[in-house]
Amino acid sequence: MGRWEPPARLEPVIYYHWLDENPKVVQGGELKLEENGNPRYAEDVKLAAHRVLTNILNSPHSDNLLIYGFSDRYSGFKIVVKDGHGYLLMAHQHHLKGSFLAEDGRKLGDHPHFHKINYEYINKRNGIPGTTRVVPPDLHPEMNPADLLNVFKISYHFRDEKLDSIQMPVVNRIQTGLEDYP
Amino acid sequence: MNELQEAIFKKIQKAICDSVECYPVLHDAIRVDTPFLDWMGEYIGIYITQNGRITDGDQILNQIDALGSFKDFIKWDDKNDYLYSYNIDQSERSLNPRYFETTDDILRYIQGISRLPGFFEAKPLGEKQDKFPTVVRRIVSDTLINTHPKRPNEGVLEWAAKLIEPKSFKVSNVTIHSDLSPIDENKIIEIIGYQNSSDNEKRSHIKEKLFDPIFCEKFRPKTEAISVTFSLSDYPNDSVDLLTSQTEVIELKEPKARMKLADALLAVAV
Repeated sequence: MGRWEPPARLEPVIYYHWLDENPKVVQGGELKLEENGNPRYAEDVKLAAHRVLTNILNSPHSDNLLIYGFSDRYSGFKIVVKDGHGYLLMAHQHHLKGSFLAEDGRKLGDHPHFHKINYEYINKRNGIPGTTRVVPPDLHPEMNPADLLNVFKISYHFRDEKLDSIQMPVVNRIQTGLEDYP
Repeated sequence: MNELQEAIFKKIQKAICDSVECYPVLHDAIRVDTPFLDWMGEYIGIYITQNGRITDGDQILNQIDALGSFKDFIKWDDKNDYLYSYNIDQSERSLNPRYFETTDDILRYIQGISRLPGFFEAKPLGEKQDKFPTVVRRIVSDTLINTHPKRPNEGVLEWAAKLIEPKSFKVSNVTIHSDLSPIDENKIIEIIGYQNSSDNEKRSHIKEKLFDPIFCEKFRPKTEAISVTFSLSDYPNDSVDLLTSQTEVIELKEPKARMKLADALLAVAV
C-alpha cells in the first residue's frame, strides 16, 4: 500500500528508546475498532484517534502523538502512529504493490506487516531515513483488522487501561497498582 | 524557451509524470499513486474500479472520521462550495470526480481530496479537558472591558475579572455553582461545553449542569438560569429540549450574543 511515507524527525537513539518504551499509555479508553457510521463493506472499520503518552519523546513530538486507523475499500485497513510531522509506526493489512522484503529476510507478497523507521538506510540527498517492514510471527495473510490491531498493541507495548497510582502498603490491605508495572 | 530552460522543464515534467504510477489492488481495481500529500503526510492515491469509475475508495472521509472530525465535515458551511469548486461528488463516504473530461477536471479533483483533511483539526479521544469555559470567559471579558457602555472608567480589569469568575453559594445546605458571577444574586449562568464529545457525554454534562439551577429554583423561585453554549446544534435534540425548557440559552455563534451575555452579567432585577 502506498509508497514512501514521511517519517517523524527523530534522533535514532530517541526513536529506538521510544520503540522500547513499555508501556506506551494511551488516553481515551480502550483501543478498539468501531464500525463506521454506515458500513459499506466487510472491513469498513475505524480506530478512533487516541492520544499516546510518552516519557521518552520531548515536545513537539510528544504533544501531538496520535494512534488512529482507518479503512480504504481497495487497500484495506491501516494503523498509523504519528507525531504531526510523520509516522513513527504503521500497520498495513495488505501489501498490494509487488512483493517486499521483511526485516527477517523473508520475501513476502500481500501480507500484513508493520512499518518502523529504518535509520540504517538514509537517503544521501535529503537525509531522510527509510522504512523497515516488520512481520512478527502472529501476523498472517487473511487476518482481520481487529487481529492486526491486537498484534500491533502487543508488539509495541500500547496500554489502554487506566494506570492506578501505586498505593503504599497498609496493614491488612493488599498493595495495589503494582500490577500495572510488570 | 532556451535549451537550458527546456532541459530543466523536461526534468520537472518527467519527475512529476514518473511519480504517478499504478498497480492492482483489491476488488479488481487499480490504484493510481499521485505525488500529492495530505496534511498528515499521507500520499493521496485514487482508484479506478473494474467498470471505469474513479473514486478515493472512502480513504479521505474515513481518515477524517478516525481523527474525530467527521461531524465538522458534515456541518462545514463551505462544504458544498468546496466540493463543487474541486469537482468532487460525495456519495456516502466516497469522494468521486463529478466530471472527467478535461485535464483540469482530474487535477482539481486530486487537489481537492488531498487538501480536504487539512480543513479539520484532529480531535483525539482522551482530551477530556473542556476548554470552552475558558473561551467564554475570555470573550465576555473582552466585551466588558472594551465595548460595554456600563464599563467603569477606573479599575475596569478588576471589575471584569470579578464578573467572569465562578461563584458558589449555599441553598438549603447544598452548594450551588455558577460558572460566571452575575450581579443579580438570583441569576445562575452555566457554560455548556463538551461540543466535541460523544452524545452520551453531552447528555450527562447537560444534566449535571442543570441540577444546580433546578434545585435552586425549588428554594428560590426567583432563580433565573442562563446557559451559554456555542451552538445548540452541537447537542442531541433531547438535551436541547431540556436546556431550552429550563434555561434561557445564549448561543455564542449569534452576532449579538457577546453583548447579551455581558448585559446578563450586569442586569439587576427590578
